[in-house]
Amino acid sequence: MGHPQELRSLAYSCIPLFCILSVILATPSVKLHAQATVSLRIQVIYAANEPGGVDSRLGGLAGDLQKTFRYSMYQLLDAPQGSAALNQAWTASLPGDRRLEIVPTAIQGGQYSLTVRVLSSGGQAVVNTAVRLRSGATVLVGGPSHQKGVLIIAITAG
Amino acid sequence: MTHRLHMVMGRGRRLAAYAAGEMPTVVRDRVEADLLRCPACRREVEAYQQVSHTLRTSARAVLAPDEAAAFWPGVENRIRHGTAELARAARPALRELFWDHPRLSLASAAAAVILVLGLTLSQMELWGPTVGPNGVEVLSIEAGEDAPVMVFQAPGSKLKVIWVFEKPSSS
Repeated sequence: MGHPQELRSLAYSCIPLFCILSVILATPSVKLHAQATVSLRIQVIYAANEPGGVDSRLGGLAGDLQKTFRYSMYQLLDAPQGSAALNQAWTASLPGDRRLEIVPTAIQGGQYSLTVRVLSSGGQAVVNTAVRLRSGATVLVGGPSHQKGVLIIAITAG
Repeated sequence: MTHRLHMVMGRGRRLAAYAAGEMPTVVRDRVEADLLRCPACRREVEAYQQVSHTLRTSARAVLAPDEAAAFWPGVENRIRHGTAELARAARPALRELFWDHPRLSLASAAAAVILVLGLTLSQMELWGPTVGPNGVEVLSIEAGEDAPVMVFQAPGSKLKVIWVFEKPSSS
């Protein structure tokens, strides 16, 4: 059997280990409570080859839109925002009686897995996609026709 | 009880010295006076004397000539063997290995901390599947009937685009 002083120092050295183990065991519950929802920022943009230029409300997105597409006009039609709980659908209305439906399916390490659907007026999916976004990143879903141009939907999760 | 008290007070050594006959006369007289009062002390002295007598009268070891001739070579052989054993590096116990080598202990502690941190961070899921430089990964995509779809990213742009080629409508 060891010397009492050695045993005491061994016990002291175990204290940090117990603290770390406690943190590890407590972490999953913290994560579940802290990150159960996803903040969503949507920008619904009308793009066409018409006079009108670039909507100043598009901010930093305008430059990227001009690098990506060759339309002469980009107009921000709507900018709905909200937060969606995990596996709960969040919807926003789109021009032409369409709907945007977003369901967060996973939240992992600052990344969000989302199912994004653009539904037509009849409820059919024009597009149904699963994407994974880093917090603050933006993906564009475009193509649905609108007036003389198209709709471009910018989806940012954070 | 008296005898135990004697032993506790260190008289056991005096009894041994008395039994061996190695005691000044004055002290010897005092011990003999004690022995008269303590039968257990007397028995102890008798035991000492018996052992002493046995040791003095033990037969000496006698070696045959061939045994005597082999005695010193055997001793030297055993000394050489013992030296070789000592020359071999002793394998340290695990505890001594860490206790006597602080750097090793420090490295082990650091490794343990890294391991625990790794486990903690993996529990927190701070890292996971990577999503590329623009932070977007398209996992799957389906489009409606007669509506081709493509995923692209224009050169110089950080935006990933999912584009549906929908038929123009009147909306």
